[in-house]
Amino acid sequence: MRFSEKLKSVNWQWVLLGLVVVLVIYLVVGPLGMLIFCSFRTVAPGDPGPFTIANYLKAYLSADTYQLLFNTALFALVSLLVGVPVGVFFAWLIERTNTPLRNVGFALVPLTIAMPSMLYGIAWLLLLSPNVGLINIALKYLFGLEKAPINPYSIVGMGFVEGLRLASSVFLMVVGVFRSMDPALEEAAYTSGADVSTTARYVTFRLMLPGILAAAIYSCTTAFDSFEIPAVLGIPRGIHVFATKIYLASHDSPRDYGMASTLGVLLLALATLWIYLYGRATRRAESFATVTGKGYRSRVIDLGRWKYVGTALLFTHFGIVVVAPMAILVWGSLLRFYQKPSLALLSKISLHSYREIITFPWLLDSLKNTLILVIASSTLTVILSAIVAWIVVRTRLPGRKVLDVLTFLPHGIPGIVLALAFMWLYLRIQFIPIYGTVWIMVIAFTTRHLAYGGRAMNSAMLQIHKELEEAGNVSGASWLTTFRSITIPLLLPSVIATWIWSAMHVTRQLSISVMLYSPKSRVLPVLIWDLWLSGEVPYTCAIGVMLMVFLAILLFAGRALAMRRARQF
Amino acid sequence: MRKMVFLAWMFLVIILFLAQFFTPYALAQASKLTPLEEKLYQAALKEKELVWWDQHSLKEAGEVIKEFNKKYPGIKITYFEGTTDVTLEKFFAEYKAGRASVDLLTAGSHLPFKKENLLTDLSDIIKDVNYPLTFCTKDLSGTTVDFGVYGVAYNTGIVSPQNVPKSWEDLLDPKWNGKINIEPRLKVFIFGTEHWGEKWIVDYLKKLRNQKPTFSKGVTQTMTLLTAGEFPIAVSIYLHRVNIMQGQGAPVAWAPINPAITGGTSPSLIPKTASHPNAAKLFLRWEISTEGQVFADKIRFKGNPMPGSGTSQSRIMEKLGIKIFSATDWAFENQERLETLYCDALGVKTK
Repeated sequence: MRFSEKLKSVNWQWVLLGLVVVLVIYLVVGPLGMLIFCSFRTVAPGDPGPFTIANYLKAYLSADTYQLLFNTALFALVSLLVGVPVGVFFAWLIERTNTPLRNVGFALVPLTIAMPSMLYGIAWLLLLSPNVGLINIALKYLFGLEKAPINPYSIVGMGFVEGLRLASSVFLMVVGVFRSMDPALEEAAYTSGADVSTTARYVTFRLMLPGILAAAIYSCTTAFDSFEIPAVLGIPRGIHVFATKIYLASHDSPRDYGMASTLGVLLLALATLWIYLYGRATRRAESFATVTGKGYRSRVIDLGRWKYVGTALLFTHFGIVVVAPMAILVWGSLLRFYQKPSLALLSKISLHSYREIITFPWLLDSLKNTLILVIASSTLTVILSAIVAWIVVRTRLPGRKVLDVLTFLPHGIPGIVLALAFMWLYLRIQFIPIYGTVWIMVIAFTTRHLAYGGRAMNSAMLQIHKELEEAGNVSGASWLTTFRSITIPLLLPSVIATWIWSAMHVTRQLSISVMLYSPKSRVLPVLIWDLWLSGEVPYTCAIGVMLMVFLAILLFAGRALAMRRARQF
Repeated sequence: MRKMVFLAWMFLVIILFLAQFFTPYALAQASKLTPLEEKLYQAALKEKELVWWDQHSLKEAGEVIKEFNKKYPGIKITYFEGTTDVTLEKFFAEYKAGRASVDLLTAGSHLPFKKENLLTDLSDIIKDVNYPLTFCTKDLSGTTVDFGVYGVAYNTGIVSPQNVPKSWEDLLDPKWNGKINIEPRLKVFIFGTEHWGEKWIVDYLKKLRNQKPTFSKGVTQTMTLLTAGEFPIAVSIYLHRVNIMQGQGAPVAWAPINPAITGGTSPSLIPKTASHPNAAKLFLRWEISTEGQVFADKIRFKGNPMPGSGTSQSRIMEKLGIKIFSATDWAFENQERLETLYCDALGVKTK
């Protein structure tokens, strides 16, 4: 057989699929293997040294580790105690009551998602500073207190801020459950003479419990993974959680590489536990059957005169959680150095920081790097996720379940740990020279977002009937042509949504970028972080405001595009 | 037609002739370079770029780069901001992995580099600009470009002139209870150990602990909070940050407490692993030249603080009647031990 004939006889479908499988294994297993490898060594990557369990002994026998565990657990608990009740309450208020303007509230409550966590932390630091923070000043004035009631430089303060941010995610997770809940059981309770509060306690919230539990576990995982808020509020006062300690152990002086890896492995184990619990909670949710096949409409509870209180609460929440942080950042960007807001300072505000920042030597490079990172990483995430989803849903390929699990695995890996693993791996691998370039971030973010992309594509793929692709095959189209011309266009709304989701997270997240950047590959979140550390508050706020505007445009453009495509199909 | 072609050729020749005067090299030539400078610049133009790690803020570094590029266009400088201990650690992490990327860095000490035989000889540029040898390492492989002076700063909007602390003991006055912020790396005490002695400092810090101070890591962030009025007094602050903030109209000033402490030498070095050694030498040469020093003093206020040197730091010291104590290498060698000892006395954790 001639070579060209041999080439023709190759089944490229399986070659491509094989390559994707190898790539996914390489992306996920390689870095984690290196992380575990480094945790058994006490020297820097590249240095000769024996294998040892010294790091584990040092970590487990040190009181500092248990303090760290306590701090992280308390931080997660406080953020949970703030985020879950707030998120659930507003989801209930908007979905199940007759509160006026609740539709506006639905659009406003989750807006914190468009605000990068680091900027959120900075804004709350300026709002909650014990002596110059507006909120503490207001509380002291209102209650005649001598000392500031909220201390942002504490685990509880940090958890409070994280909780406010998490409330939006909880809201979005729970609001759907409220909306799709079968009202039959509630109506049965009313028929039996139960009042609104008894029904809410014994029926509604019990039915909601698995959904709330899932949101709580998700929040817990997020809090354990959180780097930005503890970095802004905790590092200056020496208050650490796992994520910040890992960052400092691998970046600050003196560096402790082995300890960074060991703490990374420990955090990974905890995150895996949360993912397992999350899986169990969502699996059990099915048995509660909040959604049935019958047509129904959720009962709207009449709050009477209290409905106006509901509206007031909605807008107060929006004012405190969204408007106040954004306003303080805008205020900070208009001054030459940060001063607490006052009427006297109005004469001193100017656009000086914006004018200066535009000519800032690293802004263009950071923008260019961010753009490369966003486009490359989001596109790669979408392509890989779509192919993996196709393998999992459409083929009978042996091992496809393992591939599915592998792509989901990075969901359980905290960003800081994943970045550490990539750092170790590419410091060692000399023949792939991407250490210190923007490309190491591209593959780290791609790996990190495969889990979300995989889930989104799997669901979308399940909704497309196989017969559409079979029609293409019957008409003589190759697998690649069918995939490109039929499958991908049908998946397009999900593809766009996944791309936008990934782009937003890449632009917002600091924990991976701050671990992997070099001066040549500085991206916007790192530039903001560096400026903040330099004490350049006006510049930090100015870039932050511009970044938030960019994210908002991206969010709305993406939604508009996805909705347009969805209508076309 | 011929005339048109002739005119077009003439136009092209004139353009090419004029263009030579606007090349980066020609622009630099216009300001008369020394033979060494010229040689370095030509080589640097071929290297095209430079990776520089130092402890200046991004804004300050940006201004320095802009000024350097005015004289030496055509060299792209990438900058990383890190404290001198971070740059040192970062270099060795990369070096051991075979990926050293920096061309010029300021490190806490040149000794670890010397031990690994990694230092580039800088005697040529030092001699070329006649830089004082007292600001260089003995083997002329490192030069101190700028000087940090540590002391106490206060918010002029909160502390009235009659209440300004004038001695270290003044900070123990009960009226400052809960109102002092300390940068917890305690550099002022570490570099002042040879002046006060360990025992005096430990006793002093134990008394200062009773004042219930707050702690905020990072001098620049501490300055931001001091300016905003979060606390009235900040200890272990850089004088040059106070100058910069004052220049912007911020309500901060330097307390006339004797002595102020300078950390001595944090040398700028060019490791042998540098990919752009000529660009690095050219840049460092410019930094230590009179022109570079005057500019640095104007932008960063970190010139030689010793009396009579004419820098802004020196003038402020003279005006306030403050003496300067300069630490030796001993303080650097004992830095970690002293930090632990003093942090324990003050009851603070930094790591």
